[in-house]
Amino acid sequence: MPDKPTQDDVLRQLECAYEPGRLPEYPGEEFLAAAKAKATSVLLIRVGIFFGILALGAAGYFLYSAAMTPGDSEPAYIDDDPHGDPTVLRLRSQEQGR
Amino acid sequence: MRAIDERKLLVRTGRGHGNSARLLWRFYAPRLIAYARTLLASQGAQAHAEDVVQIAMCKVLQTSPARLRQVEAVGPWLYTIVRTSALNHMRGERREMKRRTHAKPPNQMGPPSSYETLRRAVEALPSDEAEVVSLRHAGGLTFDQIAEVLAIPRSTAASRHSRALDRLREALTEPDAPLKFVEGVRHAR
Repeated sequence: MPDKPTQDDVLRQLECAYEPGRLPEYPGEEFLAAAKAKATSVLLIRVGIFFGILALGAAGYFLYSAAMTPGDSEPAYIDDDPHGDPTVLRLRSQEQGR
Repeated sequence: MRAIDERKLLVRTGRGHGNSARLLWRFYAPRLIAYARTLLASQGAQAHAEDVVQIAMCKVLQTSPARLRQVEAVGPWLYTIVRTSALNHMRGERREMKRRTHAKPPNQMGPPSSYETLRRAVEALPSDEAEVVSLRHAGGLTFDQIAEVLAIPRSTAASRHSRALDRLREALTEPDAPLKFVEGVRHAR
């Protein structure tokens, strides 16, 4: 019958038995697939945020531009020359007749 | 792997960073699975250890980045999650066993190596002792960390470890007897 190993022997064997190189490897497909799905969702959220900000910026710029453009109600010229150029007078009368 | 790197790896994995997830898996999975096997051994469900660990690791992906940044020691934190997953699995399995008439045959893949035999001897220890041995040697945790994971005093963890070593000494003396001897102890509990 072999001698009973000491506690140190058992400890040494345990250290060896659980060394990462001696343990079987596992593919972990489900976890890695879940990590990939998470990465995709994070990417989609970031892209969504980016385009959302872009759309808000574009909308803001468009509204600002529209607000700054002079409207049709503004007089295009000042009627301070009633006896002036006939073309201008005709245009003016068309404008007022509208 | 340095502690600081592990924490970065954990946070990046939580964000779904593929390479970090792969590294974390490669570094921890074999040891976490060895630990899960010791937990599941009492039901002969060691074959489910990988699934249990995958479920536990998927919880990392569901944890908020703020919570992951708070984790100070990655190892003990992961072992705690695996322990919870394994216990949940065992509860579910117990319910399932009541419905089944035949137990699953053990997953035998050829003759085991001497280290495999030793790991099986550890799995055959009483579950509280097997857990401590696995956390200490597979996980590389200190007795303080083991006490934290198992929510027991440090002295209890140390005495369970010592008792387990005595049983393993017996087991290694007589290669065929140990598992029977230890299983006998387990069944008597």
